[in-house]
Amino acid sequence: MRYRVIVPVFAAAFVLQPFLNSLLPWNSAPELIVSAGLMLCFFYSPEDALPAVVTASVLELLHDLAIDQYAGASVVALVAAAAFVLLVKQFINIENALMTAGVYLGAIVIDYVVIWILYRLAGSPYGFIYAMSKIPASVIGDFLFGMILYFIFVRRLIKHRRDRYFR
Amino acid sequence: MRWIREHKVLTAAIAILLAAVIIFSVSAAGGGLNGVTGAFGNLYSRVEKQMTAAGRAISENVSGIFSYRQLQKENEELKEEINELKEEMNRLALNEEELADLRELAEALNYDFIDGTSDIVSATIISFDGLNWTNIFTVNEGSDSGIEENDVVICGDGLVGRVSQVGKNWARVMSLTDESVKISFKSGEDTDMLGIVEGTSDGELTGYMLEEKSGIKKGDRLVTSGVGMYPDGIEIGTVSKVWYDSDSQLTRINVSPSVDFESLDKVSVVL
Repeated sequence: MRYRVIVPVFAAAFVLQPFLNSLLPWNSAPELIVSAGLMLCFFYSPEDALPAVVTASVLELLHDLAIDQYAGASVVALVAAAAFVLLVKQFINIENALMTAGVYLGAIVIDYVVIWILYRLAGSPYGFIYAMSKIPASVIGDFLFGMILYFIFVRRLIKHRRDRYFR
Repeated sequence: MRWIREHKVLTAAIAILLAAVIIFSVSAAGGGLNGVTGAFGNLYSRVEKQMTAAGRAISENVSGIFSYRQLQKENEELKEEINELKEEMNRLALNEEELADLRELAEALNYDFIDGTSDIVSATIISFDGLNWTNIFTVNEGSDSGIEENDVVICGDGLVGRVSQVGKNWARVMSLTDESVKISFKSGEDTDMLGIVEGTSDGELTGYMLEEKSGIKKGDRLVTSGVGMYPDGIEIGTVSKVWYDSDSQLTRINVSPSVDFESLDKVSVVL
């Protein structure tokens, strides 16, 4: 993956994010950059996924600085979730949509949990159960967007299939 | 250096993580980033305003198509409400003589709040922060409109919170449930009943009455007492539970905020 490709694509997603947030109801708009960054980690080696993670991290940091209460929390969460995907994908067959969906869902939840932990450490008063009770719509949005990307990428990027799952 | 060359990915990940942790620590400590945040916020809010307006316009038009009947009903109800309000306005209107007297009095007392309009800035929310469990949002007015840090933010339903950060054309608002700040209140029913409330971990408010034996009861409306940063008489919420804590010998209360933070669209900033 090259920076000259990933930077404009992620920058467009960055600009488009507030449009989606105001368009979709119940906070269900997917986090475009986080979802795409995590999904790309499934299909590329750690070295090749690096431009996506770095670009996503920089844009998340800018987003934090512009909007969020504490800057940097989203970046730590994204790196943790990306590390989880890069670690676990070695043990699964990513051509299996169900398995990938499970790991991807886990990564999204890790992203939210890490943010909650950091916010809590910084002094945010909200409890874990309350915070997690507020995220299902977002998780569904992230999940659906991620799986759309999955079905696009899996056909293009995996040249030598190991099973006949997608036939 | 050789190790770094051999472990490019790991090095990059550690570098990103370290940078993020340092920035987060500075941000959590509450300082150092204001210049960066302000400069970037000014730039981002311009883009964000346009994108949010576009998204909102489409969303409202689409939902309007599907809720035509409901909108028609609402329209009728609003017309009725306008008529009622007009009647009420007529009843409450001061006659010219009384108004002239009051203006004279204001001049004599050097009281400049009489115009009223310049002391409150109406603002539209352009974005909520990325987290669903917090109620921090950005509005489309900033220091250009006279907004300053710690200005009180209200809406039609009551107290929203305070301005936590200001840029040229934007301001970030922190709701009263988002920080553990104590707010002094009095009961709307009996202004002698005083107490303190603060945010809880589940997005509600909790507090206690200053008098041991207080007559506060479930359903009582609470308003700000005027002590501290919040002006007097702004509605905070409704008492949802009252119990006596024998350990601290205080009457404790749970309060549901009167503002529904999730459906907020416009707010007013008291300058």
